[in-house]
Amino acid sequence: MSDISRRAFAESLAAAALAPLIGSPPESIRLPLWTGGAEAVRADPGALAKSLTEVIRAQYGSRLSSEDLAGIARQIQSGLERVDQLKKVELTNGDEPDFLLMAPRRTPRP
Amino acid sequence: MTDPSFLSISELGALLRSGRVSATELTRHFLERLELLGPRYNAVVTVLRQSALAEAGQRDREMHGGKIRGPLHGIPYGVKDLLATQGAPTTWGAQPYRNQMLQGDATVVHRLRQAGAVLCAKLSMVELAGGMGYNQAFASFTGPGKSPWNTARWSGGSSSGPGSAVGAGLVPFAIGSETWGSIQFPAAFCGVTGLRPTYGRVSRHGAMALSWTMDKLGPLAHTAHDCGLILAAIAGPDPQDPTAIAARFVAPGKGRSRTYRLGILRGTRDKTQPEVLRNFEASIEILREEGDLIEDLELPELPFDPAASLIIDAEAASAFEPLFESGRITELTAPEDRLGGYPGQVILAKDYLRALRVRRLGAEALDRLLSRVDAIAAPSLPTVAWPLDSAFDKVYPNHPGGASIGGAANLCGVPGLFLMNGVGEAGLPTSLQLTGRALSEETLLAIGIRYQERTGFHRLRPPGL
Repeated sequence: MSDISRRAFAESLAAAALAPLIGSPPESIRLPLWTGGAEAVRADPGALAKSLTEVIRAQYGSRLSSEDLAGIARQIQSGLERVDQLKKVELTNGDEPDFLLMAPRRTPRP
Repeated sequence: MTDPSFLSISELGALLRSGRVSATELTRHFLERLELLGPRYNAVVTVLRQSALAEAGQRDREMHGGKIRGPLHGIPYGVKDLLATQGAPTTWGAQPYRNQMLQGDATVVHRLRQAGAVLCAKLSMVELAGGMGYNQAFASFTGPGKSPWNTARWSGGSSSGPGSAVGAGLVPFAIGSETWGSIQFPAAFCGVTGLRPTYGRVSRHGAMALSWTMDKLGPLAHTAHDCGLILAAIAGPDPQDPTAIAARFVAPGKGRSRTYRLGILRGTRDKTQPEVLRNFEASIEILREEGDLIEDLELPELPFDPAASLIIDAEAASAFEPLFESGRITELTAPEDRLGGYPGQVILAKDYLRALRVRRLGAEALDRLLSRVDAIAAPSLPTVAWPLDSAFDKVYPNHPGGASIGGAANLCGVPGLFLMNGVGEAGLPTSLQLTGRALSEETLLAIGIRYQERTGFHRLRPPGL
């Protein structure tokens, strides 16, 4: 099965064009090293991708063929290559995840 | 009665308030079109004839009594079938949920009811809003969504029914959703106006979750003015969705209110179809007369798209975990969707969190860029609607497009407006996209209104309709 989807197509729109650009870093934002995205490396599944595929096999293997698992391994490898691109952004301990938690206080006191 | 099929909300409202047509007559008209023409485009899951006529009758009685709830009073509409509606199935476009009955109405549906709009249909969509990585148009149990401009072309997705139903004049407006491209694609491929609101502008309560931190609900309609009227009805805080924000929004009126500063990304014109480029340049010429233009803006060099993909995959893996656990994922329509969600099951927690942390930096950088302009203009897509029978990775290989802000905009939750801006290859619509900073919908819509006043492409109808 193809690893390319409509989302991958949308992703390629940006990736193809980002390559030649050198953005102007806004003053307060650290933009240290990221230069990825231009050429998606679709490498063969590496050791980590293969190990993670084994996790899939352990949980759902009864319904997946070896061909299915090989395709999943390639997709996992693609995902890991995306992670490699994320790792090129320098983060400090204070860079928090962008999520929202509102501690609730809605239950009436008994 | 004047044929109301392609009239705007304002025009329909004027007919209603003048007494030249009743809400019941309007509703019957659109119900008949949904039933007659809906199958031609695979646009409809469920027509709500009985409840729609009951609602329309109530709106007529209110009007006779002097009560008009607002500009949407008596206006028929449809919703993407990922919004819960009491008493009707909510299928999420997916075979495993074909008979799913959810309790209560989604907040958006409730608010539109309060505003007097008449819900006529649940509209088709790509299964699970495309979250499993579909690579073809035939990715829903309702069949491939077809463009009203040519039924051999895709309607776009995942809000396929909202796009084609509005484009074919089956409903005056519809509610769709976008996580990444799902209002943009159908608006562009069906030649309608689509608005992707700021994340949090519209409550997601009662909507299928694909990605909790990236899902947005928004309107598809004939005009930018209509989109403003709809957004005014559905926006606002909601105790049932803590991410829904209290931010003022007033639907902009018609006419020129001020000049605008527009930007264009360097490389945005690259590798687009010639007709798309021609229509984009013509749009820019018109917009240039409305204000200033800054060329060669550069998107901050950050991995927006990888972060967006990883976040969607991880959140979808959790949101649809029961589908994997039960094995019913194998019932999905597109073969690639039956396998495309597995990689998300093994994304490492630290990698997901890294994507969220990168997003915060990216959102700040993107806002810095967007603060320099009122909107960044671009072709909505580099090509016209794709042939139905082509795999997405094989279609228009010579026109992948240039610099795109779509991934960054969706990752960071900023709004976008999509407007038909001409006709391209094979007589199919082309589209202009305007992206602004968070909560800038009023500005984007005002620019869109002005553009449509000056061009009239939104008045073009698909052949034969």
